[in-house]
Amino acid sequence: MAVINGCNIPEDLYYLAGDKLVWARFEDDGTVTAGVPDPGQAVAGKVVAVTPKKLGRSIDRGKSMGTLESGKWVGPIPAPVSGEILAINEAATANPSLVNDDPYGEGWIVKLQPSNADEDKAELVTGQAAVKAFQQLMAERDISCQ
Amino acid sequence: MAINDVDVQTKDVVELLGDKVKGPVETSLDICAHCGICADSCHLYAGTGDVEQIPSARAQQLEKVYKRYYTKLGQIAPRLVGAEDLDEEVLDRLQRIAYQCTLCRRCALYCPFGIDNATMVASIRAFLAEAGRIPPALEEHTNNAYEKGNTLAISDEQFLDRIEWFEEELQDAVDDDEATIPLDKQGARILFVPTPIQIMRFPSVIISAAKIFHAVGEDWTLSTRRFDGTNFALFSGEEAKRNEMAQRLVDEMERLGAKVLLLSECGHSYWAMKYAAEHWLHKPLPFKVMNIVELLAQYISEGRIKLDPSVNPKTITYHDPCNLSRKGGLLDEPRVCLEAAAEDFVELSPCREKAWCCGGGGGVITIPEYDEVRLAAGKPKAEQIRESGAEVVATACDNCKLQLMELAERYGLDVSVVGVVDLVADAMIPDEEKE
Repeated sequence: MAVINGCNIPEDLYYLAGDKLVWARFEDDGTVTAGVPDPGQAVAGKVVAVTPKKLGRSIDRGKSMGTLESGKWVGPIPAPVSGEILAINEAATANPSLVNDDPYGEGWIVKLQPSNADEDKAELVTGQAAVKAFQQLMAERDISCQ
Repeated sequence: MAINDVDVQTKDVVELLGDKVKGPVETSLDICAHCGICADSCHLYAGTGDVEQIPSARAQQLEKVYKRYYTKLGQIAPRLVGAEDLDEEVLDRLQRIAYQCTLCRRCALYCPFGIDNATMVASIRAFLAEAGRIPPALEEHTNNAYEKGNTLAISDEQFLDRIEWFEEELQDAVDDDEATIPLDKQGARILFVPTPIQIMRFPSVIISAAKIFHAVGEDWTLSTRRFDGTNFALFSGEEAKRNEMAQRLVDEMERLGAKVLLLSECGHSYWAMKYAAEHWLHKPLPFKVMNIVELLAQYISEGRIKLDPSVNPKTITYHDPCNLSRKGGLLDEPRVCLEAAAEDFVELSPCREKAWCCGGGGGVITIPEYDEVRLAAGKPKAEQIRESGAEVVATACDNCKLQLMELAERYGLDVSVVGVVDLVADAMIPDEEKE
């Protein structure tokens, strides 16, 4: 796992390019688990509320699949792929600090059933390309997890 | 000490002092009997117990330095009349008392002579601003707005990005993919001007307002040029910047040809444009100025929106923002909204024009070095919220919201803080469900 300014960036995950901070894991069963990456939770600060869209809701890639609220910011969590919301993480909605404490584990936000997985996957960045993209973004925006 | 006897640097400051105090403020200083009746009306004194915070003590401090340079006795025998030199220590004290006061005007209601201490404090701020004594964080906030167009320095790109998201949320809320948040719509009846903190931290205010406008078919727009209704120069005391910021809103109204300037859940932006801008700019405003709460009360009274109070079943109280209620006259309007939107609305005691200031106004919330005083000053508000038994505190001002949230944490209040607009939007009955 790469570490930039104290932020963990797992190279096996996929990320939306640009400054829309979200990670995606393509599961063996064809679903996609998504959440907020370490730099994203660091920018937001202490998360006080996570409000995913309703189950069954179809979302386009890049559009909001839920809302993240911290003490200083409220904003959308962009969907990494287009698809339908299959599951929401009730543990994170009940205990939003999971997003800060374990962003890639217990702090996941939703599971999606992708409608166009292959095409969307090709639009995401992963591996070293993702690490480079985060390095640039974090330098530009002075993001640190330390 | 006559003005000509002081050193050059002090002389400039003394002349500034004279400029700001001569006239009505000087008259108030003459009238103030230092009876101290104002003491118990001031949340700062009630919360901190610091006698320096008594409104008449502020007047007395100003009077001490003023008469040192502008009265014969003060010049000849300063100790005899309690006059003080305008030195660094006194400047520091003036800065503290002027920028910790929230300009709430509660003391004016209790003064037997009707002295408006806030006007006096505003004159101290204006003097300190010209003397280079604005607290740095407040100055930065003001400069952001003046130089970059908004207090949080939100870029055009960020603004449009947020609007795109607000529009998605609106479409979701009203189940209409065609629902839009109009931008720069020429000739719209209403120009709605939110605040930067609503764009970044309290977006539900804008989304809720858009939802209500959608329901009534309002002809409205946001502006891409002016999306900050706040005027922090009013707080810093920088009169030229304050006037310029007001003028920018006037210019934008004229550019878009709107009839109503609608300010959002922000107390001072409403007061500034409704009551002060005409005086600052020396001309009548060619449009109407309204607050969002006022417009919502109108919609409710006219039956243009129907509300289901059972959607908001918790015990809800209302904190009157000083700039909207005591200074702005919007006493009934928020109550029209809350009585229609909430099942169990209870009043704080006292409330309306006699409401305790929450302690977060006047720009003090931007000044970190005053945080402890600000939170102590909020104690009377915290106590009355606790006594009300409310589970939710509604209000219609960003700075009040921020302060109330911090007060809840500091004083262990088990309450949530919400905006009136959100409560109304949540309780709105969709068209298809109306009888």
